[in-house]
Amino acid sequence: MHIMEGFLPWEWCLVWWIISTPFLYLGIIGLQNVMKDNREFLPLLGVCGAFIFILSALKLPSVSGSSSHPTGTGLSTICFGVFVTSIIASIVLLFQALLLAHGGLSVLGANIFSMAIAGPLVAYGVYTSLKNTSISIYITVFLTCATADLTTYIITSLQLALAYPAMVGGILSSFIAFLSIFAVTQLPLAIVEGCILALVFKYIMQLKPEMLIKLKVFSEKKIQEATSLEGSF
Amino acid sequence: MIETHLDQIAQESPFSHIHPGTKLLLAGGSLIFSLISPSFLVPLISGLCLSLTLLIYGKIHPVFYGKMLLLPAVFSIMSVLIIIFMRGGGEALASIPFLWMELTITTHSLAEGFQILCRVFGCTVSLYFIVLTTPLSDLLSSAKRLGVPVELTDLMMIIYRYIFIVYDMAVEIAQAQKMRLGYRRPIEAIQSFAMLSGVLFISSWNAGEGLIQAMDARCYQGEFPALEQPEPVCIASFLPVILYLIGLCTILVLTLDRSALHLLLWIL
Repeated sequence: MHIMEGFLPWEWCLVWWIISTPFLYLGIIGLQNVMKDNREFLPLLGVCGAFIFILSALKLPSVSGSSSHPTGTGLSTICFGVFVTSIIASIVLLFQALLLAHGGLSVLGANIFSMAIAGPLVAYGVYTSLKNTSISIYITVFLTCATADLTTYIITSLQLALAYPAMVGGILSSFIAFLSIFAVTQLPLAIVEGCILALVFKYIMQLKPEMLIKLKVFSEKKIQEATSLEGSF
Repeated sequence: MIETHLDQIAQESPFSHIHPGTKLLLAGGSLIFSLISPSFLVPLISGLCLSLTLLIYGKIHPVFYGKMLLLPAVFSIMSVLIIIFMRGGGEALASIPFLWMELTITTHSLAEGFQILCRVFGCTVSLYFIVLTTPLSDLLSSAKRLGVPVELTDLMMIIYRYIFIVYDMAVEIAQAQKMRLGYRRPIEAIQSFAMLSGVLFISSWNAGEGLIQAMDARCYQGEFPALEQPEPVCIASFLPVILYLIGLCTILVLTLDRSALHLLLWIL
């Protein structure tokens, strides 16, 4: 769920645009550097961006009875890193506003910060800390994707709380109120998205493991261990 | 799923021949005025004017437009209800007991809620005006002319072109899964959805590799040169836009309170 067009006061729209701009600038520099080294990267990234857009437009089976959409940023963070993900996710957010009328242009800075910057940053921290440990690939993917999702919603709650602090209790009280409302649907959804993307990894490892090795997502040894473990079951 | 291709509507719009800059000026100006206005009047007037323009001159079907507005309306009403109960100020109008809490509606919170609803309406309609009248290819060409890095516009172009290919693939797989009762139980639904996503990722990757080969065969040097022939800016469409924005700006200034007016004059 994104903040809808016109929901934030203009001062906060401006603040989130100012905060997001340096990250986007770094993302563009990162993209240009990657393109200099490997010009094949752009079409591949473009097609994967389309995949993330479609993934985020598909209805996710929800435990809580409602339906929502996966953010897809966890998968992108694992495959392409934080800065490239910030660019892909920003384009996806822009297209969601222009092609699906989800989110908006004035609140794009706020949505970019929550979904394309904060979520991937925290998820990348989880991924790098678990990547080279003995923890299973599936648990690593699950935790990374669920963290990206949850961080996005925590930051969205914070953005709303900062814009609309409660009369009694101020920002903290408002933050708790928004967080508790989101938690009803988003906590189960984050778990479901984590499970789904862990299963996606399972299928990719079964059908095309060389893709993950090429992207240096996990070491060859770890991927072989995971696939052999799967075969023994 | 993507229910409607909004871009197709934009391409078939009677406004598609108008210069994208003129349309962006109208929608962008309305969006900014609606956003910064401290009164509910500006976003309400802007939203109504643009909606009527879309329905009468843009030939958008009223039922389709109503459905488009329904989703943000539901979300904004739900969110505004929370804000009405959380914020305060002014005199208490009503008090509703809820669990262990006492939810109070005050004059100030009610006025703020109404102002937010009007702002969401004004800004959403401005966004819809861009979406329903300007094809994405025109927006990308405008972005290029405004100095957005080429790598970014090219990446956007590839993502845009492939969205519909990947989408068609997703629909076909999902339909095949549904025919085989793949979404009957929650666990099966999760497994089917994961399989769909995994196959889509691999297919997208293969499509990307195919695209590299196709582009190499056409001497790809890291940039897409495109022949752009934008429509010239027409005074017949540009002048009404300017007059409309001046009118909206006048209403905005007239509805500003004294302190905001002083601040505006100080900035100017």
